[in-house]
Amino acid sequence: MPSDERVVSALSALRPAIGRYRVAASDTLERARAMLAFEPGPSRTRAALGAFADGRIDPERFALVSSGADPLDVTGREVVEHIVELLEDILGASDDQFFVPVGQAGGAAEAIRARLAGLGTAHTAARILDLVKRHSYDLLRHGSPSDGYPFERWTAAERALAPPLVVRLDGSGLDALELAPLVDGCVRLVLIVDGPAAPAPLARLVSPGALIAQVDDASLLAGLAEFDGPAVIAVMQGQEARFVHDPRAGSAPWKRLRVDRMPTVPPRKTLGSRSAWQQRDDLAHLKALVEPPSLAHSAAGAGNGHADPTDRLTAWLIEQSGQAGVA
Amino acid sequence: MTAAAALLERDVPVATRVLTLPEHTIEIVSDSGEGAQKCGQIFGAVCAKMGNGVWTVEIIPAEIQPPPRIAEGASGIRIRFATGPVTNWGDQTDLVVAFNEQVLVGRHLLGALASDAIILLENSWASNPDPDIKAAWDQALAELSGYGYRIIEVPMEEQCLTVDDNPRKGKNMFALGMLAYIYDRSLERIEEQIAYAFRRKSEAVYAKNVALMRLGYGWAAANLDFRIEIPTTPPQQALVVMNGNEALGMGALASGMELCAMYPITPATSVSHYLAEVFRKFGGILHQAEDEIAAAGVAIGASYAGKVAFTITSGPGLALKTEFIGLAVMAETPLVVIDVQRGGPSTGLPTKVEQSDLLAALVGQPGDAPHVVMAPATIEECFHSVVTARQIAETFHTVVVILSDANLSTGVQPFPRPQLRKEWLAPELDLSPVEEGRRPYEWDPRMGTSTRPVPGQPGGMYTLTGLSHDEASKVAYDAGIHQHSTTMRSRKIAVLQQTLLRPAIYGDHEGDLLVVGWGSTKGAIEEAIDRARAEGLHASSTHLTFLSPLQPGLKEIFSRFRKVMTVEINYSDPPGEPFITEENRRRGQLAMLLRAQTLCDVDCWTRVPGEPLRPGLIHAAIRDATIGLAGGRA
Repeated sequence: MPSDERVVSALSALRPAIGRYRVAASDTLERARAMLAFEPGPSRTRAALGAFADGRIDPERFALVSSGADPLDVTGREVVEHIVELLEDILGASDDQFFVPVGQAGGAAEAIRARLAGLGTAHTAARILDLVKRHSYDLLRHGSPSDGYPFERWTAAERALAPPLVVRLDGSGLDALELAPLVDGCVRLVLIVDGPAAPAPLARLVSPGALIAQVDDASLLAGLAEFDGPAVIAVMQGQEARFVHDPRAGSAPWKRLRVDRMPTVPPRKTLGSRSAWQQRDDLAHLKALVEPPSLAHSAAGAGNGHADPTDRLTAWLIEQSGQAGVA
Repeated sequence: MTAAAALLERDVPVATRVLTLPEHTIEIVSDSGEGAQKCGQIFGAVCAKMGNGVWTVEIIPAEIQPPPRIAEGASGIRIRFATGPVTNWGDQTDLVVAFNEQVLVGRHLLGALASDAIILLENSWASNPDPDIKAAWDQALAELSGYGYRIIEVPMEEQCLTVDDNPRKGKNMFALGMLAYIYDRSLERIEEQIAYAFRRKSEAVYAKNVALMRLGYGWAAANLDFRIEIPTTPPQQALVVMNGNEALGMGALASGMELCAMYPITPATSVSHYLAEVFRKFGGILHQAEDEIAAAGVAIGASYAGKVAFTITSGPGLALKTEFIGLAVMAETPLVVIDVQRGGPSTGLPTKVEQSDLLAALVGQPGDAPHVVMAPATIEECFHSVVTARQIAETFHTVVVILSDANLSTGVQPFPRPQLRKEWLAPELDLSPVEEGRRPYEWDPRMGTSTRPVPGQPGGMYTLTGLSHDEASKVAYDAGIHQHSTTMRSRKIAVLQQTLLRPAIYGDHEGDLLVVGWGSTKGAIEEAIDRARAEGLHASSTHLTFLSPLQPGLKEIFSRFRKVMTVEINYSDPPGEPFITEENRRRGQLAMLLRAQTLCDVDCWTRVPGEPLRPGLIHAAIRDATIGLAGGRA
C-alpha cells in the first residue's frame, strides 16, 4: 500500500468507483465460471427439469431442444479458463493496482494508458465471453484476453465503467494535453503532484462535461462519487492556481468554474515541456473562462463595435433600457 | 417422568383396551372459528413427524361464516394416518370429535362416518337452557342412535372453563389432548407443534393452549376405556410436512422465480400468503394486482423483461386471464400459470374441489393458442411441478398451466425434503449483443422455437405485439406469414411431445379395464385399483401428468384393455338419465379429450360432490364397469 497519505486518502475517496469496476469484473467472472460449470446434455437436463420430469420426460431428447447454450469447444474452454484466471487476479489484487507511480523520467500519460489497458482486461474478458458463446471467437482477429485493451478501443459502455486511477507524478511532467484523450466516460484521474508545476496545467482540460480541478488536498474527492462524468483532479503542493470546474454548478463556464487562487507572479521559466509563454497562456485561458460576460462591453460597442446587426441592435436596446453595465 | 406418564398415572381406567390397527381416519368438526382445523393440523403434523403416513383434508363450509349449529356449516378437518404411506383421504371416518351435534349430523348425512365410528361429542348442549337447542340435541341423538356409532359424551366446555373463560377458544386444544391420549402421541412433539402454531402469539397464549391440551389428555386418560395404536415407522430420510399451496410456493422459490403476480381468490390465495413471507426473507416480489387480468399482465411483463414469472389463480380468474394468456402465446413470452381449481362454473364452490377447468385451461383462449398444461397428482408433485414448468416455459418460450386443485391446496402430506439444485434456477440473463441481422422471431423450422432477445441486449430491440407478426416482429397480416407463425407455435408443442415418455401403468399392462385419471385423484384411484385387483378384477390405471401435449402411446396402451374409463371430479351425464343418449351425452373433460385424440371409445365415471373422490366409490365404479367384460376382448 502506498505510504503517501494523499495517495491513501485519494484511493479511499475513489472506493465507490473502484467498487463499480470490481462489481463489473466480478459479474464477468461469474459468467465465465457459469460457462465452465455448464455441462450440457442429459444429466444436466435431468437435473434442471427436476423430479417431476423423472419417468415423464426423456432428458436426452429434451436436451436436444434446450441446449441453447451450446457446449464450449476445447479452444473456447481454454479461453474461458484463461479469462477466469485473469479476472481472479484482478479481483484478488489490492487497490494498489489503481495507483500509478510515475518516475522522474515522466511519461505519465503512457503509464496511465498502460494501466488502463491492463485493467481493461475485465472489459476484454466480457467481450470475448460473448464471442466464445456465439462460437465466433478468433484468436488472430480478436486477440488474447491478456493482450491488454487500449483505452482508444474502449466502447462508451466500457468507458462508463472505467477503473479510477491515482497517479503520482512530478509537477514538471504534468502535461494536460497528453491526458485530454482520456477525458471521457467515467474516467477518474487523481493526480498527486510532487514539486513545482505549471500554474494552471489543467486549465486546458476544462470542457462543459468534465470535472477538472487543481486543489490543495483530497477533500474535494468526497463529492466525486455522485458525479457522472469524467474527472481529472490534481492535488498540488506549490503556488499554482487553485480552481474547481464542476459541470453540475451551472450551464455557463463562469458559473461552473470557481477560482480560489490565482498566482500573482507570472511564470518566466520553462517547466518540463511547457514554455513560459504557454504557462502564461494557460493562466490567461483560465482567467477568460472564469470571467462573466460584461454587458457594459456590449453596450459600449453598440452601433460601431459589432459587425453583426443583431448584436448591434441588442446592445442598443440594452443601452436604451438603462441596463448597460449591469452584470 | 414425562408429562404423558405423569398424566397417565393420575387415574387410569382399569380395563383400557388397546387396538392396534394399520390405519385410522379421524375428523374434528365444529362451527367455523372454533379452531378444529388447527387442532387437526397440529395432530397431523405430529403423526407425520412420528413416522406415520398422513393425508389431511380440510372440511370447509361454502360460506365464510355460516350460522352456528347447522348441519351444512360443519367446518373441520379429516386426518387419515397409517403405518405406511397415505395417498388420499380415504372413505369414511373411524373417529370423530364433534363440538356440537348439528355438525356431526351434517357429516353423518354426507355418509362421512364409518358405521362403527367412535364419536366424542361435546355434551354441554344437552343441558342448554334454550329449549330449541335442547330439542335439537335430543332429536339428533335419537337419529344417530339408530346407527352403529359409539357416542361418548364429553364435557368439553365444562372442562375448558376451568382454564379459559371462553370455551370456544379452548375446545380445539382439549380435543387435541384427547387424541394425543387415544393415539399415544408424544406430548413433547405436540407441545413443540403448538409452539410453532402459535409462534406469533405471546407466551401466555402458548401456555394456556398447552394447559388445555393436557387437560384433554388427562380427561381422556381418566375416562376412556380404549386406546388405538397406529404403529409408526421412523422416517429414513428428512421429511417436510406441508400443504399443496405451500408446496407450490416453495417450488416457485426453488425454481428461481422471483415474481408472482396475483389477485386473491379462493383456494389459491394462500400461495401468495406463503410467498409474501418467504420473498421478504429470500428476495422476490409478490405483486397483488388490481385484478386478475392485470396480474397476468404484470407476470408477462416481468417474463418479457427476462425474469420468468408466474401468476396464480382459480377458475374464475383463469377465465379473466384468457386474453393475456393468448398474448403470452402470441408473443412467445414464457409464463407459468397456476390454477388451483375449485367447483364451478362462475363463483361456484369456492372452497370445494373440482377438476372442471381442464378444457378451459386447454382451449379456453380464442384463436389458436397452443401451450402446455400439466397436473401434479400429489403435494410433493406440487413442489416439483413448478421447477419443470419453468424449464419448459423457458425452453419453449411458451405458457405452461399447472392445474392443481382444492384437494391438494389444503391437504397436508409429508414427503422427502427436496434437495435443491442450482440447475433449477433460471440461467443467467444473456445480455450479450444480438448477432447482426438476427430477428426476434427467427423460428427454427425444426423446433418451432425462436430467439428471445430481452430488453438491454444491444441490437435486440423489437416491438412486442399480440398482433400477427413476421420474424422481425413487424405486424403482418399476410396469409403466408400467419400460417407459418401459427405452425411454428404449434410445432414447439409437438417437439415437446416428442420428448415425453409413455405414462406408467399401475397394475398389469393389459386387462379388462384401464382407469385413466389426472391430478389429485391419483391416490384414490390407485387404492381403488388395489382393492379391485385384490378381488380378482383385471383392472389397472394410468395417471396423466401432461394434458397438453398428451403423453405418447395412449392409443396403443388403450388397445390392450377391453374398456377404458376416466375417473374425474367434473360433470358427465350419467347414462340412463332422462334425455341422455349416446349421441348427446356430455362426458368427463379428460374423456372428451382422449376420445378426440385417440379415437378410442373412452368412457367416464365422474362426480362433483364438492369433496375429494373416495376410493370406495371408485372401487364400486370399477366393479360396475367390469361387469360382463371378462372372458373375451370387446
